[in-house]
Amino acid sequence: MKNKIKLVYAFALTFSLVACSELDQVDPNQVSESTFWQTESQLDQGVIAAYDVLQFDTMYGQNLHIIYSGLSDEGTNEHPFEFNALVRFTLSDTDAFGGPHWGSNYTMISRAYQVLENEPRFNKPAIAGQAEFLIALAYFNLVGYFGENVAYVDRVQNPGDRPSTAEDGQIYALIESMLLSAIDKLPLGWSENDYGRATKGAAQALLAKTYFQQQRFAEAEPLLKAVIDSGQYSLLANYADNFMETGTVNPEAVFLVNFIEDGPTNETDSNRRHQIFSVSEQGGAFGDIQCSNMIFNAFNREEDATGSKDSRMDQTIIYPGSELTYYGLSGQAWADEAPDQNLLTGFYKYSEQEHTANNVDPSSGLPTFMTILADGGTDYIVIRYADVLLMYAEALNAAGNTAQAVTYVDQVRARSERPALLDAYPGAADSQSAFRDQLEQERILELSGENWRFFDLKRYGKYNNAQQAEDANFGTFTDGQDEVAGIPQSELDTNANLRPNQAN
Amino acid sequence: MKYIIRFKSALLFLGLIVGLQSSAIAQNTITGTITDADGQPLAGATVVEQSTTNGVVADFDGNYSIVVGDSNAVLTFSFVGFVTQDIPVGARTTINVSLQADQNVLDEVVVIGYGKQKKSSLTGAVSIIDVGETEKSQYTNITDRLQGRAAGVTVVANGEPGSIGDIRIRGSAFFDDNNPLYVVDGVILSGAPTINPNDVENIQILKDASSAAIYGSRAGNGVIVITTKKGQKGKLRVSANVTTGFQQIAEKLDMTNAEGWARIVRAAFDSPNASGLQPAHAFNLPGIDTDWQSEVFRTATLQDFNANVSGGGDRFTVLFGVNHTYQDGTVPGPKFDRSGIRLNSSFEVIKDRLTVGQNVAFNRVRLSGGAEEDNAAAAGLAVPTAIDALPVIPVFDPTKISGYGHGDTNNLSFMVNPIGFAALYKNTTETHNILGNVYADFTIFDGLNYHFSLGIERGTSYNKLFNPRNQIRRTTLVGSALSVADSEDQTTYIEHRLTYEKTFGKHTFSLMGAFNDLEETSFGTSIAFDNSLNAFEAGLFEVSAATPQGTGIPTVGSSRSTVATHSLLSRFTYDFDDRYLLKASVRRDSYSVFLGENRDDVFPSLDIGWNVHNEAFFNVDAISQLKLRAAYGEVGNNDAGDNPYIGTTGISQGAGGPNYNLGPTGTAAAGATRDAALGNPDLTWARVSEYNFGVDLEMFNGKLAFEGNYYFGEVENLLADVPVPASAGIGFGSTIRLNAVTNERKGWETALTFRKLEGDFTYSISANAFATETSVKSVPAGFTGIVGSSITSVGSPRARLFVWDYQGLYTSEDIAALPAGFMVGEFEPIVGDAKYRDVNGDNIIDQNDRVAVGNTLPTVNFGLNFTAAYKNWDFTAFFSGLFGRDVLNGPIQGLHADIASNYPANYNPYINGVGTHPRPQTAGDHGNYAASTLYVEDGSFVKLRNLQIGYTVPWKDVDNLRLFISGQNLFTWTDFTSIEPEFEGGFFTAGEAELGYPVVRSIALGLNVSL
Repeated sequence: MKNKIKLVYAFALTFSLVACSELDQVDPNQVSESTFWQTESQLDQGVIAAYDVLQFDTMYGQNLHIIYSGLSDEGTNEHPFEFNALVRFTLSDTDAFGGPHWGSNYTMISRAYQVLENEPRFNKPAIAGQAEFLIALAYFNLVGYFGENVAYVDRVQNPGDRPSTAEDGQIYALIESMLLSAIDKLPLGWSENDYGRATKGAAQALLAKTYFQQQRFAEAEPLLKAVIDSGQYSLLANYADNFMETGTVNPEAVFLVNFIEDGPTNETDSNRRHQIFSVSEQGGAFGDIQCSNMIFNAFNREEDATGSKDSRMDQTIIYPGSELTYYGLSGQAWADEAPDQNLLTGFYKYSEQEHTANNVDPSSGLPTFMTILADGGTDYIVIRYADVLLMYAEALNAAGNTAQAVTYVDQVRARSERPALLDAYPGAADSQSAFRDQLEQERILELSGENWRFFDLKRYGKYNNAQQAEDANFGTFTDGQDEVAGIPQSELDTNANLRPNQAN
Repeated sequence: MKYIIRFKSALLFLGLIVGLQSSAIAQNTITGTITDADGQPLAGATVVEQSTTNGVVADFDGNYSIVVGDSNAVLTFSFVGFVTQDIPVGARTTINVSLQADQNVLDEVVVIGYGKQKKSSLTGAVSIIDVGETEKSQYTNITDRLQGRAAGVTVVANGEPGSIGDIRIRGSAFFDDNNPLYVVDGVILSGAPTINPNDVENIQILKDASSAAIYGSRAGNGVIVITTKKGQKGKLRVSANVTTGFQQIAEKLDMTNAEGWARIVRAAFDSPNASGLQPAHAFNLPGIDTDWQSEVFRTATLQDFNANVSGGGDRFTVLFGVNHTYQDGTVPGPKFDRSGIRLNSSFEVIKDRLTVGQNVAFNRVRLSGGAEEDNAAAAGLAVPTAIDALPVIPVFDPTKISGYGHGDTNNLSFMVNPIGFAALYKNTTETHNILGNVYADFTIFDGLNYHFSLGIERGTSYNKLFNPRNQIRRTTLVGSALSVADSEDQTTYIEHRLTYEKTFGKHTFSLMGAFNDLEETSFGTSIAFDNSLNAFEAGLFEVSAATPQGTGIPTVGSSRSTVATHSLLSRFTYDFDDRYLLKASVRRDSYSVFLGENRDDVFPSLDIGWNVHNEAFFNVDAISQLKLRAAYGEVGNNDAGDNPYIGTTGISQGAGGPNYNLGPTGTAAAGATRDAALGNPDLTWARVSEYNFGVDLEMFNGKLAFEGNYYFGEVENLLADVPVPASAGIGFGSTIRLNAVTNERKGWETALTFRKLEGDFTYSISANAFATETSVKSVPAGFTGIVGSSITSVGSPRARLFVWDYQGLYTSEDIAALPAGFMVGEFEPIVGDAKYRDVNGDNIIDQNDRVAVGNTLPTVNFGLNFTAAYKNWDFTAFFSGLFGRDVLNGPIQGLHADIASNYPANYNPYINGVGTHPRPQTAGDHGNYAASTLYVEDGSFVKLRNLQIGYTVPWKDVDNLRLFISGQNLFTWTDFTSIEPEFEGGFFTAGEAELGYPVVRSIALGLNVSL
């Protein structure tokens, strides 16, 4: 009996030793928001994540090029699906472009605000400045596509947050405050290892562009002057080098999206622009976006005025008569393949020819894109110094300093061995409006295929149905509606504080 | 034994004293044997002299000896589960008693979770499973064996070896996790039990929220309470069961041959809007005509063996068992092999005061030949592949790299050769499971009992998948790969429980209070190599530092998660005179997955019952029981998805993460940001609150029993993936889990049993019928309820079909009468195209023309079991099925639509002016084979689940020797035109038929022996 009593005690003791489990559990499998943001290095990783959005397929990796060229008079296509609806302004609210564009830009905004909200503990203004620049760039792209009445987000969102529609002026004010702050915080330049980060000049140029879109040229002028006077930027000797995978620091790039040389690896996204913008659907390229004849016509005007072909023409478009080949075939050969024989041109700029020249499938005789599908390593220049010079000329002209403005246009023309502006177009500086009209032509010659035509049309007040004179697609542009794209229907469905815009 | 002797000595001593005091009082010693009807001794049966405290207990051989006052004494013989007999002593000194098994199961004791209750006192909806009948099934797990056995419980089992079917108690109330909680010997499990189903002694299913409420936050889908077999005091028993048989897929779907397929494909391309590549073989038949179903479907063996030895002494019981089950696949793919042992024992350490014991089962499960889960040829998909594979593709094709035929780009074939897949992909999973507990029961004083239990459920799994470099699908050249994954899941369960039971006068009450601690931990490690080198190709599957590790980057990983639940619970029952019944319970759960004030919650229940038959005024002889009961309870569902850390937002970083490039050549720079899957710290339990009203009726001394339940209630705080505005910065189309939806559920259940157990010919009929309807009551913004071809809209039963309204074929008159610009999708219809109703009248047939049709929830499910015995023969027929379910026949729709799959033999498309189905089409979509009412079919079916004939061999040397032949899923009666009408479907897509591993037919021979 005694033994049994001992046994009972032994059991009791054993059972009382069984420990209680712990209710407060911490995820051992991954770092969480509450355990991250402890070091300066992590803060910088936060801003890198915001830059990462620039590479998305829905951003500079692909869609932004489609959107801005398609919605301007530069780009067109004969595609049966959404691409065609885009260029004809007949996209629905649940379209393939609006939602991702909205989502990606707000992702960049969110990632940047995560940095801004954690930065004060480390006091790293250069990191905060980059985040502010990226927020401004995202809003700039949102306003470009959707207009000013987008969701007003000025902090990291909780899952329950339902931001309201911004009133006119609110987003521009936010962009302005972000960029003014960024200009104070950002350095003039970065070491070579950090090449690609936003600089003071980039913030100044983007703020100038923001002012331009609001016709506030006087406020833009000193910013542009500061960029020019900074000594950080210069025109490349060779225009074409801007659009090639050179693997060097480009002093003409004021801000660029950095794609990896001979990319991609697991660590990066590639730029698919060259596949989308290929002349037609061949060998793995999509041929989704072609050129309208507007660019071709502009170069012909230049040739008519000067008697010589603009060397930028072949670098910008492929057309019958180009001296360059496009994936090994002549412009005429491509024109023969064109789905619409009224449109014989395609974009040449940024087409990564250097990797694939003469890469023709021996059996079919057709060019093959197969070897470049995985590349797309050419950095995409968002703001180019030549653009800054032309903008400065526009600002000077707006202030009445047309004569001074001519010199900046000539800088750009001279690099491409064009005759001086007033030699080619003697009346170009006769009046403010004559110069502005000539400047539009100069911007087409220099900047076509670089996504700025869309903003230029809006700034000139030409973003309307009448533009069908240049691009037949504008024939289906509904004035008072298609100036902006509709707010994505799914956003309206999930956020009662958001109101539809004129295009919904 | 010693105590009995002492007791008897004491009696004798007392008797002597009494005898000395008054020799006038006669003294009789009565001896005898107490047995059951079969003559088996009933050890532990009691003998009491009426109106005295004089009593004894029968020994192991059923023998007793009692000294009674005189010949007027009356002895009462009783034993649990048997009818008590009163026998006057008279002049006899030897009284042998044969007790009859009690057919009236009113006094049956039912395990209800954290205790037991007399069946007559139950106030909720509890199904008591006839385990003997489930043992006639050939299913290899206990879950599947519940199919059709209880009102309100459905099981969709399939024939894939080792798979466990989908079980639903009162339908699907939740969007994701609708699996019930399992409790085995008091231990709360993390999933379905893997134990040998023949180890099960009894099963109770707690169906309504009130009965389940004692399990609180895990009981939202009901609770299955399983008790395993224990040893019995008395003689040693040995029993064994052997079954061997074979299985096959019951139905083939008749398909066209190569000629028939080619004729339809050619017609599809002979139309104005035909587009896409033409399958070359359709225009130039290769002279191959493979009947893929005959090649893939095969007869598979099935073997089951289990044996146990049990017995017990005065102070202990023990049961030891072994089992082995083997099931081959009816298609190339998984094979299931399970071996297990069990040891259940108990020891009465201190007589009438302390019992300790353990129940433990160990088993090893080997599953081999399965596929990688995300692979197109995963086991279940061998069946659809066999059906849709083109007859022009040969099984073996020496011109292919792998030697297996798989078609090519020119023939648009996307098939994965299932025979080649099974041959090339070596996939084995070996799992070791331990499930059991140790416990102690301590009687502190009469009526107050302390129970302690420490339970463990542990599974360690080792998976290895290897494939050589191969090509068994079109142009997809697959590099060799090896992956090894180890996982361990352990649940530790601790229970402390105090129960006080007391009867005084007509009042009986019990009060139970308990504390539970449940800790669930998972660990995993994995390693994978791609493009492994020759060592792996040669069959050397283990990895060491010396192993050439291939050209790919090896990926390694480890993970761990811990989830803890603390619970306090209490139950009070009160019974006045066995007439008025009351039960109240409350459970408070604290759950580590939920944060802050959402961590703790309380789940109550309250029931009342009225045993009308015990009222003085109730005087209907035929009715032995009439009980009315009403219950209300609240239970939760703690499912928050696979990630137990869902309350916190992770950081996304690392390879493939939010990284950027800096520097002129673009050097990778690491980034980090909040994960797109936002955590939600406000998550809490979904909660069911339900009323249950029931009636229990027993007539003719238990021959006829009826049980009925009606229930209704709400499911609140249902977890749903709710769209988050993209302005939150986690991308377009992201969702977050929120407690956002409220559902309503109502239904009814009836069960009827009739038994005739006297005479040479005995039989019983058990039938159940039931239906459940769930609908959505309120939803958050952005929640459409449209999933696939189904719609769940507020106020309607869930998962109605949402399809175009098919109105026949377009005739030339129809086409002429169409308004200009009328389009179906992107094309103008032509003669022979499918005609759909333009619901919104906009002359375009598109998404906006879909109509909600059909009732995808059965109007009635049923089970019907008939057993009969005549002398040594016994017979069982078991049916189950459902009626009134409308089903979208997606498998057939898919076969009609696709030129790159074979066509059903009865497909009769409109070709050259002849045909009843819409014109065949290419990928260019005229919408002819869209989801429409054309494919809505009556999904009702009845299956003969089991047919068994047994013969008990009359042999004196054994207690029982029975031979049987058994057939499972022998016949299906249905109008449904695909091969398997039985499928579970999701919450939102309950009526969309799928084509997976179908139910298989099996025929087996078996032997039961006990001695």
